[in-house]
Amino acid sequence: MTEHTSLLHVDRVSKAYVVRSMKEVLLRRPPRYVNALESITMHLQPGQVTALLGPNGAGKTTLINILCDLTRADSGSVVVGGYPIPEKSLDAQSEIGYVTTNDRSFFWRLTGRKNLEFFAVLQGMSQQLAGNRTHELLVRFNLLEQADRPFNTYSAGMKKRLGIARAFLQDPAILLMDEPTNGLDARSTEDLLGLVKKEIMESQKTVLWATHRADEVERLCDRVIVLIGGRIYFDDAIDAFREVSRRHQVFTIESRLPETPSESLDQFISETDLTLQGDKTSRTVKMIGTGDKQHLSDILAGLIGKGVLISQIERQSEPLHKVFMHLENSVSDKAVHSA
Amino acid sequence: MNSFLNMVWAFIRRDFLIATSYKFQFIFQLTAGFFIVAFFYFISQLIDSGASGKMLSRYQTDYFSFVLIGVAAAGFLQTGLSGFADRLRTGMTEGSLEMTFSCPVKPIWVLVLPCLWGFLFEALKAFVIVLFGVFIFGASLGKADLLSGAIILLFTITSYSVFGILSASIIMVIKRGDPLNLVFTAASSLIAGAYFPTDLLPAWLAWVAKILPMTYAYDGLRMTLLTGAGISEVSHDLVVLSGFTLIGLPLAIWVAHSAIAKSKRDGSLGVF
Repeated sequence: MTEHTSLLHVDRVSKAYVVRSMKEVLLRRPPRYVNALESITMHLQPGQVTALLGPNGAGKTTLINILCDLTRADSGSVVVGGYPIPEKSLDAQSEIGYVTTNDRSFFWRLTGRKNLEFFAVLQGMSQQLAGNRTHELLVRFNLLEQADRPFNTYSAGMKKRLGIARAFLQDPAILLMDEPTNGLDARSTEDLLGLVKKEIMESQKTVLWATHRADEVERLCDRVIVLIGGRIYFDDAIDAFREVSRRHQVFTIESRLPETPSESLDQFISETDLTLQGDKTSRTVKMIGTGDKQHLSDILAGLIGKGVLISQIERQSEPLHKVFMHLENSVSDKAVHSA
Repeated sequence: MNSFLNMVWAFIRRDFLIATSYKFQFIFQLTAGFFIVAFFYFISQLIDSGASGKMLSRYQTDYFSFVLIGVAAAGFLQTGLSGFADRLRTGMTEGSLEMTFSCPVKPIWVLVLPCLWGFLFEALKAFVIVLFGVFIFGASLGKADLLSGAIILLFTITSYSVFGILSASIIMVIKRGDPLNLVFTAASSLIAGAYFPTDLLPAWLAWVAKILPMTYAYDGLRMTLLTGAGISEVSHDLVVLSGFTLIGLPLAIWVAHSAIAKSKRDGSLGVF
């Protein structure tokens, strides 16, 4: 991934917020800083759909706000579509379609159509062009029937669709999407992801998709950047991310211990970091551990060899924040690729 | 230029549609002036025309016609003072401000253009107030020089916008409790001559009135609308208002740019 061909170029961007209570101001204490982003570097290639994956408070929205020039970075440089921010903010903003998680970014008393027409004019279109473009997008995003209803009568799914339609108004090169499925039920999320995937594939836009949901990443993205506590812990292709996720699965082994468990079994359980649930005297216990398939089969072989009867095995993906923690602890040096 | 006018129209249309979607409020706000005009009409009946005549000789009119212009202009000028900050805070609390700032529009226009509908609506309200005053309560505006009045009004808007933009800049940074707006609203009502001539004020307060642009706005509007004075006769008022605009507006715009930049640095653009 070279920065020369990238459409969106972020280089060593840092941002800290000042936290200062009235008491601290009055006592003239120096302000405290909360780091939101620490030396973030990334380059998005044309046509690439990149996930910005991280838990709440990871810094995703701060980064997107910096790219839209809603927040200024403390240091580092941002270039969008060839235009540096903040020096050429207006040109950069013309290259961006921004989807916010906030439905309140629309005017609730206006119809969907009037909302889109307003924002189309702010993108530099004439009234007539704004009307035509709005109509075209209302058709594309299945909102034509509801176009002349006030926005406050829209369902959550319709509001999200209108938000995405708004981002397409000026046919931007880059889409910045900040948790666009936030607040949707499973069905609406599924519908929206299907629609977005189709639109992105057809338009070949460069997309930065901020989310805390790994399933969305799997469905839409070519590349994953994991952001935790304002730092990038992972930046690689989706296949590499899948591999990391696979390596961090939780398994539960329901088992029956032998009548007289050996000391070597206790040692084995301790060495393999298995957590025991249940009463050892009743002999029926659950053993919980984490790891990939190979690790699980090694454990099973070890347990069977020590006389344990296995009755059931369950595997499930580890919660994302735990995967992130593992990444933080063990993969950071290996997996962080400077673009 | 064309795209700028498109944008101006888009803001006016948006705010008109939002305002008229609250039908009862829209009609009530437009017609509520009747009660204010009636209130001052009955007050004026208590005022001895001989005593007030001396004070109002400059405007060759009675107290009711005098105060009618003050009432009509006061609401309008209030929009100039507080409209920018009010619209900004509405954008912050409703959540639309950040999205508007993310569009390729110069930030100063995001601050100024949402106020245009406010000015138009206040002008409409002022017109309705004058209509009530003239046709129901018999105010005398027969000599009005409307063109000169309109020019004074234009410079009144621009000079008041200086305070409005400064006030919005303060709100942009401190979010709530703008002292500038409070001071100038009080000054505008009390000492600039909205409801009584400044000659009634003690000397030191009359001196304060002389440094406020509002005083010249009220005077210019009354001279043109009540006595039929032309531009040359209100040139003093016009020079003060335009001078205030020429000096104050660039300063206010610079302060607004700085406030927006600070808000972006703090990451608090949409915070309220």
